[in-house]
Amino acid sequence: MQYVTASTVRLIGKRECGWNNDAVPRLIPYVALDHKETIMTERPQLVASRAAVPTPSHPNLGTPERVVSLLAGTLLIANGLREGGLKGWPQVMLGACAAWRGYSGTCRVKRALTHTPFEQAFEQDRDWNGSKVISRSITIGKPREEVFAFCSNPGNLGALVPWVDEIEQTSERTYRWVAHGPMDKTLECDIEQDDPKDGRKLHWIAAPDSRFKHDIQMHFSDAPTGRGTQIKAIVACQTSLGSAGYALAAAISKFSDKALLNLLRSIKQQLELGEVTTNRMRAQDTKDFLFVHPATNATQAPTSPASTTPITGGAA
Amino acid sequence: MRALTWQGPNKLQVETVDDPSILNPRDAIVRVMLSSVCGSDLHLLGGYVPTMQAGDIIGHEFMGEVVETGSAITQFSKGDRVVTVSIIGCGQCEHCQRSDFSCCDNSNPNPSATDIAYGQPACGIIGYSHAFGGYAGSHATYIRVPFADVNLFAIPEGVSDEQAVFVSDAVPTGYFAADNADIQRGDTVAVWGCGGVGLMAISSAYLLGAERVIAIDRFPERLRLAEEKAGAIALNYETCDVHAALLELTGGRGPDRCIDCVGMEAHGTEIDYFYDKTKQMMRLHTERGTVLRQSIRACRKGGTVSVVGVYGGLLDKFPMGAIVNKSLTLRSGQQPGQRYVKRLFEHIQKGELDPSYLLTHPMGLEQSVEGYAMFKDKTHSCLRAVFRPE
Repeated sequence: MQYVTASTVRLIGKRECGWNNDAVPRLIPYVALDHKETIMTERPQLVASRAAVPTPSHPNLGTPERVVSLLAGTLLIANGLREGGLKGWPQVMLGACAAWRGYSGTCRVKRALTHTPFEQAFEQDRDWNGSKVISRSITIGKPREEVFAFCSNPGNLGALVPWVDEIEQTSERTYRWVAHGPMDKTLECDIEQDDPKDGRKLHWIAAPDSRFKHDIQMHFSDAPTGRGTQIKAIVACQTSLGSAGYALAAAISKFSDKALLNLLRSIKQQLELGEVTTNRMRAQDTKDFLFVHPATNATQAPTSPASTTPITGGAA
Repeated sequence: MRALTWQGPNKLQVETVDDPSILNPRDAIVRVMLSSVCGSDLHLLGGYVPTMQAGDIIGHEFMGEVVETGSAITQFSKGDRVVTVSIIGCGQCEHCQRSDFSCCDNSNPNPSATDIAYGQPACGIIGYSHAFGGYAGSHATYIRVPFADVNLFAIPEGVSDEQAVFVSDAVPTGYFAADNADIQRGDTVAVWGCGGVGLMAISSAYLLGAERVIAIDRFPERLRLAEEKAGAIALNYETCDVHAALLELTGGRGPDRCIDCVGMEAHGTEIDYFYDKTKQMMRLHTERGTVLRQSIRACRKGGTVSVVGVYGGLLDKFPMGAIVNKSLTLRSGQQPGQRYVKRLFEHIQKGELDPSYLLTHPMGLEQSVEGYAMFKDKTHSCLRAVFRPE
């Protein structure tokens, strides 16, 4: 924590915060004021942060948008009143909504399609035009070293994802994930793994020639009062086509979020229990997962002590 | 094997399904000897608990014999007579380590539904919808029990099958309700609902030091059991004003501890019941809160309201003002039976507790559809129908 006087306080931009590849989420300076002194403290950038709820005193529409809304709304109301009946009244209602949007300068739809502060910072850092970011956290009752070692091995993670069939290590840092997709399609994705950071961070990014750009991070920290290890997983995907692409990615991210929840739960179960909980009656659907080690001079990923426990497959 | 399956709201069917098998090292397969209906099954049956799927095997209160164990099971072997706690704990997570087994982090293989509904994933429960894990239930010839060393308990000598079966759920739920109510010696306790759980809550309240217990229901035969078997003062809410009666019986103070053993399908005679029923039918909310409102309103200032009746979602007209302004403590939960089973067996062995009278209708699994109809409609004085798979 750094203490400064009021005269030295200024707003600090994202770049100046030192937001970069090595520390996501970074600590972003937060300015707090009290009656005696100005205190600059630090708090983590939350993936969950969103654009503020717009109000007439803090509108989220610009003047051109407001003018267009007002004009369109007025026209719709006038036309609706002229036509009347079942055809006219919906126009009147729609026009009233548009006119209110223009008058108040607030739009919830625009807010929903506004990239979060975390996404905006991420896009600026990666030079992406758009991104959709999801995050999940979990606490695992095992030491950080053990959890980190387990998660460092893609073979351990792949075995816990029900639709991943195979992971092949194609070079020292590159892994090809093969999964079965909808309509019996096989999906492949090459993912590069960054150097692990001191038992605190794992980072994977989609290979440069990948069709879908992804950035996946896992941050490891010690949970308070000896509760084990906290993992914060952040998954970002690049979006295109502006707001429409963002809306589509947001819809798909509902499923990705569920998958991330299931994966983190499975990691927790595997590490805490040595098995993954299942509700199946019989074993006929047991997953046949394959982890292919490199045939050439590639370095094999470290194998954790925990991975010696047979992995029995993902949750049903 | 044969099993009783849920096919849709109020549709049950006995059919032949696959036998379960050992899937994880800590599993055990149990041959079911007795499997009881439970009031909370009626919420599933009526379609009030979402995420049920046609073909799901229901039932969660049972005892039986171990027939197979996984490689990591150390405390049980083939032939052991056991009872299973219906709320599944893993024994390893932070919550299980604190004996809060019903808060287990690891026992639900389908975490997303309750993660959305409740904010964090709930534990797994045997035979209790896919939101709570999608585990096959106990109204079947065999059942797979996960984390068997944690959830199975050997039935000691001197405890009959008919007593032991209710140590799976009704007895620990009732005991947990009384324990959660923080009963002090000399307290007056009011218990809403005189089904199996309510009757066990009454007995448990006395075991934990209550001076008198007031039981509230509308079925004369259940109120008679509450008086004769559990020693309660019975109030029929169809023939008296419950709130006025409770104040009259407690010198105007209200009961020190109130226990809700009814839950989301509460019945009532006042306007709020019809309001709840209408909104529930229109799918505008999921719970009928008559009992919860009555218990909060009646409870003495500074008292405790303990809720073990099953609630699943959203409740309207919740009297938060009474909780705040009367300094009430509201406690709730699914039963962490693993915490209590040994203690409960000791009470049974000493003759301080005998749940066997709950079993009013023993029958075969093939008759289980009729058993549920009888239990639901409360005909033939049915308190609990208990099935014995052939």
